[in-house]
Amino acid sequence: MTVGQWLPTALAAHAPVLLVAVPLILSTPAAILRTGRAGWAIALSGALLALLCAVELFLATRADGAVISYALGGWPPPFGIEFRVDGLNAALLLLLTGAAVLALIFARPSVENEINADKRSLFYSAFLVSLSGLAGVAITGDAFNLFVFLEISSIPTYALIAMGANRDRRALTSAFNYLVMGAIGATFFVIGVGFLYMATGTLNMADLARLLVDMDGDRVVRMGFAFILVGLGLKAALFPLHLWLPGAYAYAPSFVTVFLATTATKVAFYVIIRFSFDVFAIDSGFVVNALTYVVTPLAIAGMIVASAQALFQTDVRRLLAYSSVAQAGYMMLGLGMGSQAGVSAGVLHLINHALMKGVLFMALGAFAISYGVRRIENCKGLGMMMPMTASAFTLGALSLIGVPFTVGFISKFYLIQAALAQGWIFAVAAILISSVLAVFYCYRILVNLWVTPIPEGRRDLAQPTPYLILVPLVGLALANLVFGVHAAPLVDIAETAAAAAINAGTGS
Amino acid sequence: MTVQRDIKSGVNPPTGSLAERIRSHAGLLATIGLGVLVVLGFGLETVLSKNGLSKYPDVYGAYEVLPLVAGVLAIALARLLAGLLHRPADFYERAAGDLEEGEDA
Amino acid sequence: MPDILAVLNGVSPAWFLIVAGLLAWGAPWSPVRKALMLIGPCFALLAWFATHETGVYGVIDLGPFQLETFRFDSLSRIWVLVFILIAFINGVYALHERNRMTDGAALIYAGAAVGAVLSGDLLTLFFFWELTALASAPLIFAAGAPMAHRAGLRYLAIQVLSGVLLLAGAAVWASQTGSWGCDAIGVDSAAGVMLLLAFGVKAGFPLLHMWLPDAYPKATGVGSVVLSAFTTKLAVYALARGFAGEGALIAIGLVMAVFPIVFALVSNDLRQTLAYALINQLGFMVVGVGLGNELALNGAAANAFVGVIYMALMFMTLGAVLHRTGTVKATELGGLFKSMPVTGVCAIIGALSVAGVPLFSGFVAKTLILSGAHYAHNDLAYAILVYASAGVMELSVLKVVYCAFFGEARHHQVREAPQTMLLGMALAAFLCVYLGVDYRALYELLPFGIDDYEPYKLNNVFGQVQLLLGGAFVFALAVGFKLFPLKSDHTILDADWFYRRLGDGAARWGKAMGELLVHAINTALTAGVARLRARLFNLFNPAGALSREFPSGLMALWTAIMLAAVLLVSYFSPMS
Repeated sequence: MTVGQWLPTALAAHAPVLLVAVPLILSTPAAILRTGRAGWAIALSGALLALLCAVELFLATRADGAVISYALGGWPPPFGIEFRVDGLNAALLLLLTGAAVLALIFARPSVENEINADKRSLFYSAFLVSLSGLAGVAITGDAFNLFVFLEISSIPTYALIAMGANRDRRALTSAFNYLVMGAIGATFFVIGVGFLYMATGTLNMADLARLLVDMDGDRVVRMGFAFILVGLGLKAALFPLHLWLPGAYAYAPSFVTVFLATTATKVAFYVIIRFSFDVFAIDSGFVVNALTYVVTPLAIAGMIVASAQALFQTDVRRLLAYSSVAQAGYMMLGLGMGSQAGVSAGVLHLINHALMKGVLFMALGAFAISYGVRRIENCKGLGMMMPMTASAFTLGALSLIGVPFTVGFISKFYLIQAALAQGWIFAVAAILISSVLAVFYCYRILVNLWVTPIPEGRRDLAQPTPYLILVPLVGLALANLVFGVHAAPLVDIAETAAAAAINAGTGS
Repeated sequence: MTVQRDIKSGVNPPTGSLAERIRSHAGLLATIGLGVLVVLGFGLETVLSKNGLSKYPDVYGAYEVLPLVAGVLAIALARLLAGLLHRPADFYERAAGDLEEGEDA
Repeated sequence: MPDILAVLNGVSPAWFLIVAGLLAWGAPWSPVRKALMLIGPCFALLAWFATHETGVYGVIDLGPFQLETFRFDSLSRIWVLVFILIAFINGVYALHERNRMTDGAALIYAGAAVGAVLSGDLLTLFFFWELTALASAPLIFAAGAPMAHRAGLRYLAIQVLSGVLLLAGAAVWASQTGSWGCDAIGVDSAAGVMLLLAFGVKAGFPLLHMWLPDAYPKATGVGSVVLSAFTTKLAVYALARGFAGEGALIAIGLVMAVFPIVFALVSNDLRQTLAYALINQLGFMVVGVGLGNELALNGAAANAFVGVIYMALMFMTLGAVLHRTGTVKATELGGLFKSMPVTGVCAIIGALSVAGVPLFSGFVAKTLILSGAHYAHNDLAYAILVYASAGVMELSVLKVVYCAFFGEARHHQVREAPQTMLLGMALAAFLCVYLGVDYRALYELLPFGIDDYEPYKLNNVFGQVQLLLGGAFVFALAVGFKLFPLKSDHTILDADWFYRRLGDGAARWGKAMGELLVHAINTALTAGVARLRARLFNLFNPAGALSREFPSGLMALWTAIMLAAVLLVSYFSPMS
């Protein structure tokens, strides 16, 4: 079943479980060793191993309709817990682990700047647990197990965000808010899963999908769907359930923001796709109606309102956080169309958004390290002092706007095409309006970066950007360009993923 | 702001040679010269219009006078507009709140 | 040399300009930037000469669609040539200026304009279209004043909006016809109307024109030269591509040719006067495009070619005045001819060209459009254009020349403009005269062959001279009798009142109301939550555990609302 080009066959056979277990296990030594460097090395090696496994799984699922099913502990599904990888979550796992590795490279200078020495190893340990949890959410084929992993990923995340309290005490309230709201979301999700279990008597997602096809009219199933959608919508920061996000992104340590912005909401978004299209049949009326009449309007409202809110922010990270809410709206819009083209565009935007927000938040991290910059007006003249970082930031911002030859353009283009195919002119209009707003909020920053002169006295403080930040930053920025011109690989991945989601749902 | 006055911007009245006197009345002379040329032109055209000196093809006669009338009208309209609609130069800046009372642009 | 030409065959000139611009943007040494500003256009010109055959080059395959970056045909080549020429002249003119931002931006802007002209499909056009917007904005910002900053933002907003309209129109167009090609479009469909509006914003259609007299006078001296050259002429090109022969354009163009006169006369900022004169020029070209016959299209192309040069020349002279005196307000200038004679002579040459005096370039170009109108038997258009050429242009450019260089001296003790500025102006002035005399050179560049056309016919020349003398006479009388509406430093409300006053006010009002509304909703929600909590407090009475207001409460409420929404929707959903 597996191609096994990357790893020895013995390891390759267990790649699904290793992907989750290795970071989880490595978190213990990371916590025991009390030096930050060692913790970093362990975290990086853990993430790299996970990345290897993800590449292995990704290659193995390239073939059309290939699905890897891994029975945990030898208990066959639907009775045991199953890890299940197809084209959709293989892409997500690759994104997740890849982003984790890049973020970790960035982490060392950033964490040394922002976290107290005695907490660093614990910090990395918490990060590993969180990574493991997110990977588990993405890979598991069992609905209740998914809830468990969701909690495993969330709890360390609350702690990670709270670590930002060194620089800004508001990180504490933000973490607390996220905790309360995350708990609500997870509770809703588990209630929904409970309803489904009540109706079907199974927790295995593939099994659920098989049984649910014939239970279209069941009120309990519909209740379950509603709870699951809302719970996950909260996790995915679907407008107006995004209130936790701006604070969390703005006050967390830079590294955590980079990691969260590129992965956390994406994983929740994946689960929504999985449930809407795969577990519940997309052709059942209530799923389509919920997507069309609830998710789509909210997505559009989010695209516009959150962009407008971003326009009025003074804190750069908060601005980008609101922009993330708007971008989540784009993905949800693709999902809301309920068509294969729409899901494909949504997944494409998911990947691309990770690329651009990764660049933007990393560059902000670099600014913060060198000058402690957080507010927009403090960005003045940075373009002249940190040309590489500022250029990368500019690339990311252009990509966020959707300038041609960047990835942002590609996904917006596909989104518009999908909307046109659906005949949703209003969605096209919303995308364009939101893009115009994006021009303005990016412009506010870029003008300060490049146009306004350097304030007096700033020049003396100049510090070079550490190489460990420059390398992933420039790499990601170039990826924005390369995949913007040569879009075929990402488009291919997104289309495979969408095909996997839709076809699995139609009971193939 | 007339042509005559701005040439003799100094205090002294023009004196002496013809050249200086011409210079001091250059604006007036130019206006008179232009007027003569225009009248000559229209005269010539009225006389020769059968041979087609008109700017308009297929039309004979001194119709070029019409744009001149329109030009005069335009100036009148511009005066009217300036009288009705003119605002201080920093009007928009004050309206938008960029400038407070007593500040200059 | 032939080898270089062979290598450059089929390479888009736009890339040379853009690469040179990027390099200039990054180069911290001024001499390098100045060299780039001269070398870039030279290479672009070489590439223009090297490509002999018309055809489509530089196709980039992007999977679902192909981008044609270099469509070289009889229509695009003349526009490209003049854009490259003016980029070079501007390079000479700007040699004295030490500004990293404007150097690079001007080159990139020129490259983007060339690229847009050469693009063979709407997507490439959109890319370069937006690039012109982004690259030109720094030219306004670089002026530095807060007024320039705000004007630049307004300019940018409108330009980007034009690009968005273009993209939207292109997407709808492509979904209807299945082609992204940038060819004849027509206004029969919604897509066509959107594209027409997108082009119209940049071409300064009436009521969409306000960005032009708003932003151009606030740019730097050098900036306004390039600004005047590219954006609007690019739009005329796009109109000629997509909407040649569209009847509505005749009416639009006529309005554009006439209405600016009043504003040109009353505006106190001389560069604003020129901006209105520019709209009037554009009106001619738009009429030419709207007439759509070969003569008129030739006329539009010829007008764009010479128009770029003489409007740039006029802006250059005012840039030199601005450089030396620090102002271009009519009320603060006068009598500069004594101290800046060369600049003054250049301004006079430019004005004569704008006015269309025989033996200057404006004449040979404008007469083509008039002949086109005559050919199409559109007598009304003909009569209005004659009036517009005599009355409008002459009055407005005479005003600029008179107010700046003659008239009442304002005691500006200044020197002549720097040598490099003079050289740039002299180049442009030379072209103005040369093209008026050796008009065959201009006519050979035009899209359609017109070997047998003769502009210097007795009745045409005589009539034109008569018109211009009459116009000058009216002007002299108006000045002599103090009828000219020049009193004080003022601004005149134009259509920008709608967005700068009404729109701005409405936005402020809306924002205030929105804040009130949000506040009210928040208060109501908070009150509701507080009442609920008070009940709970009475029931359970924990010792002030939740004493602070967290958004979590609000969020939980939203969660409940959304859950209710999903439940309702799914409850009322039919069975599949």
